[in-house]
Amino acid sequence: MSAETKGKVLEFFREKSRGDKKKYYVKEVVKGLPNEDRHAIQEAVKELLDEETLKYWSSGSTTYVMLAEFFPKE
Amino acid sequence: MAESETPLLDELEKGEWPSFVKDMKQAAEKKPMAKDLLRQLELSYKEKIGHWKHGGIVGVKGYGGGVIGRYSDRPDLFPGVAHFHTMRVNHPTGWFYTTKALRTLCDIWDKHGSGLTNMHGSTGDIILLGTSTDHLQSCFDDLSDAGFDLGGSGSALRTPSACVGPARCEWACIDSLNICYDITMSFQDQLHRPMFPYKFKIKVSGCANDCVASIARSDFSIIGTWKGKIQIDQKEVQAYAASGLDVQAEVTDLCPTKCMTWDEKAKTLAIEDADCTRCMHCINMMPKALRQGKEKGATLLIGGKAPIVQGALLSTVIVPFMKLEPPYQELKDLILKILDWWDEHGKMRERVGELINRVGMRTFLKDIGLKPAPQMVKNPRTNPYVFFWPEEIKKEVK
Amino acid sequence: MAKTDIGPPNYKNFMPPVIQKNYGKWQYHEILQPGLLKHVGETGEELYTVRAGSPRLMSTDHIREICEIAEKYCDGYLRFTSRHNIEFLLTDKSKIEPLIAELKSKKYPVGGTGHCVTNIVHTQGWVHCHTPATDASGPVKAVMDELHEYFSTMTMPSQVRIALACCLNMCGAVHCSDIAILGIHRTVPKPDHSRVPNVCEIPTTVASCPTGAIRPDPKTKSVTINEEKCMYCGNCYTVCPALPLADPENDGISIWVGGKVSNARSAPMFSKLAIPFLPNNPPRWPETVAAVKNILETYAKHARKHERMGEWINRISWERFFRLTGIEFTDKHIDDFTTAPETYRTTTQFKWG
Repeated sequence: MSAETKGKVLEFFREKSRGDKKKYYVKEVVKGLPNEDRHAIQEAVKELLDEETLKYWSSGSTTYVMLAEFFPKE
Repeated sequence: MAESETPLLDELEKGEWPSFVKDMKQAAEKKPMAKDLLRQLELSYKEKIGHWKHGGIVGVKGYGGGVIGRYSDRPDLFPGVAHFHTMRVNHPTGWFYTTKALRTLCDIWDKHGSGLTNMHGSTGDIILLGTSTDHLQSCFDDLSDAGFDLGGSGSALRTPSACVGPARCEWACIDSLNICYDITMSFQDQLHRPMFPYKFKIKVSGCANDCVASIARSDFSIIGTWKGKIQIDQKEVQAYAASGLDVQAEVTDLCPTKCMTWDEKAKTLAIEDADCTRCMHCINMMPKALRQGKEKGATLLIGGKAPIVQGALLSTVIVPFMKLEPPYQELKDLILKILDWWDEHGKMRERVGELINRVGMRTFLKDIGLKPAPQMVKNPRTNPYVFFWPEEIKKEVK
Repeated sequence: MAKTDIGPPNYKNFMPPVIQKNYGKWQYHEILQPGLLKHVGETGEELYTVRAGSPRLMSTDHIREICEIAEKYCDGYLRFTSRHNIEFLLTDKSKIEPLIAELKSKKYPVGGTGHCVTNIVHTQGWVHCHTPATDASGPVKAVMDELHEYFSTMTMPSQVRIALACCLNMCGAVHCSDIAILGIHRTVPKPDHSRVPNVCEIPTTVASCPTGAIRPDPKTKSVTINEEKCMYCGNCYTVCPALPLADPENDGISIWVGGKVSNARSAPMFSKLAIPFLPNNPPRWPETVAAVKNILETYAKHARKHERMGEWINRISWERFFRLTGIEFTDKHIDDFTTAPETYRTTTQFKWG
């Protein structure tokens, strides 16, 4: 996985999170970056999650990913 | 005596069946959060509604599932359950335990949580019911030190489960426990880091009796079966008949294919094995007299699910017979291929069975590289809307 | 930092020696009495299993009590079943009777084998779910109090699998049960317009709806819900806590019958609607208990030996099922989902009831 893909994924979240919507399915990230390989995007997302730049938000049945700074406070 | 705080729930301490209220009260004596859980439940009984809100927390470093976030909608009344999250712990395959392991789990849960559990949850996990946010990581750390790990939740592979299998059943055509354990260990990443369109369940049953409901409850069903003749021990058949089993009425007449005949005079049972569909009825009735054919393997089916979103589905046959021996590479390669196909083509919240119904089973089979077989359908199509693949059409000669 | 991805403990370490030795080599089994199984290996070695019911929702103290019993009689080995029963595994024949006696003295129901009503598989309900239309543990306890004698005997025509799910999300996939008790919502979520703009992401809330029933409402900065499209799944409430779904007077229970999972004799079947609505009536849900008991006992009286609920109904016809049980047939029983056409009668062959 290239640092470039990771950068694009992060850019996607930064750009998209300007509005009300903060939670994204991984699939939406894939759709938003049509020139990137699906598997590479998933690996990039995992790495950003490990670094805690991104955070999972789970409905229990489905899982979203969002920028950690926007994760709802309790 | 002071008046009870939970008069409605107290009613459910009465009666013959084990009472969950007793268990809740046991926990409430030790844990303020269990006490508030009991009090909140009493309010639900009074008002006839639930009092939980969901929260998106997954809680444990490195994982995207295994914790279900719950918050009381009346933290003013029940501060002990202001946050009260569930932890799903991957059960030992087949739900076997030593008391040592169970006691370790209990100690960990008394230290970190409410002291209440489900043995087990619907998917098979050990459910540790209710702890506060600040205990999630430390509880996981202790579980991990004790050799336990979290199960799946969200858009992930869910904790696979298996019937008791060869551990205690003569009908297991496959090593359901080992297959389940192997899959679980091989797919840890898919289980803990949700990346799929939705949930994906795998269940392994040793025979067509399907004790883990794999055909109804899993996206990928592995069900043991056999080829070859049912092995008959005529002496034991006669013993069953002598002990009061009406072989004609209870066994052969109930055979769905009528492939068996019982000669009442000669007291012999005959089976036309080519007509048998291996439903298990006769073997269920006479386990001592009948044994499955010697060539064992599994039928693989796909798409089983509960109603959400487009209606319930039963799994359907995609591989009529596959031999399953360790390291199960052919099986795991197939599962990975299907997961990747679904990941690529599935819409969000679309289970693999629904995706197949949307794009067509033919497309699925072609993309995965599975050969069509009459065993896959109840009957061939009845409509004339047949579409051929482009490569099957003769090109115009210029 | 704790290790991740270690997976569950290896089941092989948790199996008693008799199972380790006879793994894959069992010859046959017998049900010696309700709740007591004997498995015999190729070498003639015997394993006894004593099966007891549990409430599923268990305290750690309760689990420790089970451990004590297993240590006393089973060298510390036990397992649970897929239907929340506890199985004590032992080899010493002389310990069986004392074990059963101790279980009974401690009020554990012993049974759940053969042609019985075994333990009810169920979900969380009001105890821990956020979208329940009914409680789970409560109705289960009330129903099993009434049916417990069928757990500890084997007098049914065949196995009876009862399951309860507290809403149509069916965490407890009850859709293939002989009798399914299913919580249902009948009214759409009620947006709290004062809170939605503050606590919810509108685009995520709109997207969460699997049927596209939610629209943003620019006027209120909240959302509106299309009652025609909503199927009461509660997914929107999951992402937006200002869209409560619970409705004390309109939530309740529906009853479904005739499903099965096993392939024995007939193919697996879905459960079909028997009773569209019964009120939530805690703490003992008398209407639900009576309905389940009526269906069960009508089946027990009329079905042939080895016939599962669904097989019995298929033989006698649905029109007769409704007559025998006295359950009213309504327009709710007629399917209007995508699966509907295959359920309509396409023959002049039917019974008068």
